[in-house]
Amino acid sequence: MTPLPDSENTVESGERFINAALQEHARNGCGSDDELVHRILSETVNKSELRVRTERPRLDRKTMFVGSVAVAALLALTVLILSSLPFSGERGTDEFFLSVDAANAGSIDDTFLPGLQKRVTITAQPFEGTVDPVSSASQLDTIELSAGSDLQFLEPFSPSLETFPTRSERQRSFRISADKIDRSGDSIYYTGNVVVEHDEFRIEAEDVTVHRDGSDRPQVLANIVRVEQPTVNRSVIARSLTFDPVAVEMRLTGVYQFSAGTGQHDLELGDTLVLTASAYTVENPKSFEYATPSPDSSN
Amino acid sequence: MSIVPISENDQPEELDPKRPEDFTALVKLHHSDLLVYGQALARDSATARDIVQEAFIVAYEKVHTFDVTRDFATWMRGIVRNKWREWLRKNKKYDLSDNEVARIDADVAAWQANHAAAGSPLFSALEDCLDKLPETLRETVDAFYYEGRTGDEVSEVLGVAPAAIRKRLQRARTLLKQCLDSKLEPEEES
Repeated sequence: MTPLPDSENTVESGERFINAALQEHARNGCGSDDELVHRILSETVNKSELRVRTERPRLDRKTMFVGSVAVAALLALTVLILSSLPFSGERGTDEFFLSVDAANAGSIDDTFLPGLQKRVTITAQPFEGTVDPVSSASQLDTIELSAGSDLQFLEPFSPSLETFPTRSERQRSFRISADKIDRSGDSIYYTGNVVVEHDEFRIEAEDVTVHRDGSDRPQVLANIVRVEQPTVNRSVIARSLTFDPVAVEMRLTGVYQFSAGTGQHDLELGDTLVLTASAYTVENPKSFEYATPSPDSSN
Repeated sequence: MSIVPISENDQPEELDPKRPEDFTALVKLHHSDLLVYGQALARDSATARDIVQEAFIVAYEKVHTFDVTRDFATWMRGIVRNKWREWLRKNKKYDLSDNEVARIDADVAAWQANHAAAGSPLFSALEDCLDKLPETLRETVDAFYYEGRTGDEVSEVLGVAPAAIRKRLQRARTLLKQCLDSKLEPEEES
């Protein structure tokens, strides 16, 4: 084990508690850590029994072969049954369009998430209810403009694809589709083969939540995710992800696999991978300084 | 140091972690205190959050082994501690002595018991105590913890020697700890 620096060895152990309390209070205030609670509940009480865990037990060859045959047969049977039914599997889709003002903030229209504060106006609300993907194009035509003085559209929004936002604004739009969508209060929960599509990336996840995070920016949280950024040849598999759709920044923790152009990169527990459209950084746990401005100043 | 012993009575009887709705309530009740615990052990917020998340997942998976007559908070601290030790082994980080761990454990345990029994969360008490700090200490604490400055930066901003900044912060932590401990004392009945 690496010993503590001398300057930290002298710190009374009782100070570690109050020091940690101050750091957590500075980070999160008096409120609860909603994001962490969400992640915990997503992995425990809210975890669907159908979800496949990423950590699968190792199987021997015979078991794998028998299992593969059984799965293939089951899939074939399922396809046959589904194809004989008068409908195909319909997935719900929500599309979000954000327009950002000079204050560099964004939020979702309060007709969608009533509790959000607005510094920016979102130009369209996500579709209500489950949307038939076949008719999604016509749903786009019905998007209504939410009135606001700080709209960024050059022209009044009208039900036409031609008047969609400019290129830069289009980059702030994203679409989420899932097998199931639940709307509850300030949050929308997407479960089952969730796909988040954006101009710059694609996210596949077991579940995604869009909610307010106590500030004025919408937060997109996802669990068990695969992120692909084809334009920069990046790919990540991680346990959890936080996506800021305004800043177009993703923060991933529990990264199992990360490849970026030149090859695989190893991350450790506690590391946070931060992805933007053009760059990535790895934030390592910092060695905490126990009020030691300079190591030699105590002499 | 005054520590309120955890008794079986400290945990609300109606919360049984085997029931999903109760487990949810217990997560909300204890996660903040456990984050402080994880932070004190690992000294890093991101690692602490990972550790606490992993600990609750393990707890949920093994909840059938939980003895309802035991204290849930104590059980959770044990899991957090094990997860922290796993992290230590993997990362070859610094270690803490058993006494240091026990001391941190006792501090967090006292607040978890207080929180569960009296609904008095640690951070509310901390805010009260911060308000009582002398101005010079408060501005130093604000600059270092709440504005995220390094010790050198605080020294420069306040125009005080680095050694004095360190002393101020140590003094502030001591006073805050004493203040928090005093809030754990049972209130006299009026």
